[in-house]
Amino acid sequence: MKLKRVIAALISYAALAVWPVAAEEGQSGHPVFFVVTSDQAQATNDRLELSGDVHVTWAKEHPGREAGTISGSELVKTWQVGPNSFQADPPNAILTGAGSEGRVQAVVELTSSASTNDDLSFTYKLLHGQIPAQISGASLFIDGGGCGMGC
Amino acid sequence: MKIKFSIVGLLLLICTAMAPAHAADMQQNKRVYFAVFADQASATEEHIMFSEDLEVTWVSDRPMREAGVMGGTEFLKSWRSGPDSFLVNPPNAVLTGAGPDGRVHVVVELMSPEATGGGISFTYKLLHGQIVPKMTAASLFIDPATSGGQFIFSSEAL
Repeated sequence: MKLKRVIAALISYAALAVWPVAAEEGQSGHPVFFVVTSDQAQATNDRLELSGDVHVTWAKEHPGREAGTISGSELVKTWQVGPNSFQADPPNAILTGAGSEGRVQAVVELTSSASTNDDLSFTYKLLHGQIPAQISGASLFIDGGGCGMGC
Repeated sequence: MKIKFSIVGLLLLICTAMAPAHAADMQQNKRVYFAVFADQASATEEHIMFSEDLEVTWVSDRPMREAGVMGGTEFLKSWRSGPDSFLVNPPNAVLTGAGPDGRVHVVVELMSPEATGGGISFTYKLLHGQIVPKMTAASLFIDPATSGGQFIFSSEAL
């Protein structure tokens, strides 16, 4: 009887060891990444607001070749969707645009998102570069891995 | 009884063999996103060209939090790097910039990068949107490459 329990425990362990690999391969399908553009962006130390003609483009990661656009509020909805959601594991993002002293190139971790009317706001942690208070012609490239648009 | 011990031994062997393989896999296959920026970009029906002032920012896929910058030459080398290289499996990319009629948002499949007089040109297939011949403040956001782990992360990191 004891031996049966040991065998059962080992089989469970083996299943757990294999599961993460299988899950990754299953999800490998075609996660989605996003690019948000806006006329302006305003930033504080931990908050980023994109306003003025906010536009969200999505594309599936290769080898998927699907792409399209969604609204800012739809992007916020996808934040909580899927087994590897942005809420569970916040995405990294690259922010670019024109600052008062030239081109902005910063990398951030986006910790939450919200939409108000047609504008989008995020809380963030700075990972690389510098973010000025005002940016014009802003683009925010959000990493994928989630399945908010369906994998 | 002997058979049962053999089964236990076999299961132990499988478990031991699988755990390090998975750990090594996670360590090696880092996914990296690239963003290429330039003051000017031009496009034909087959090519997109970024001007010589281009800069490349890279960032690891979550949950890793590594990021940095690299030159155009390093970026071109990374195209062939890793088990799932862009050469084998071309990436998708979102191109944004300012066109004559407003903001440009285009999704393309990106292929065959080449150094051209300090800049970089790509061939592409249009997947979504409309491309314009001239753009300013151009950005090209490229979906992730799986790197071999050595080359890209030896660049200027945090």
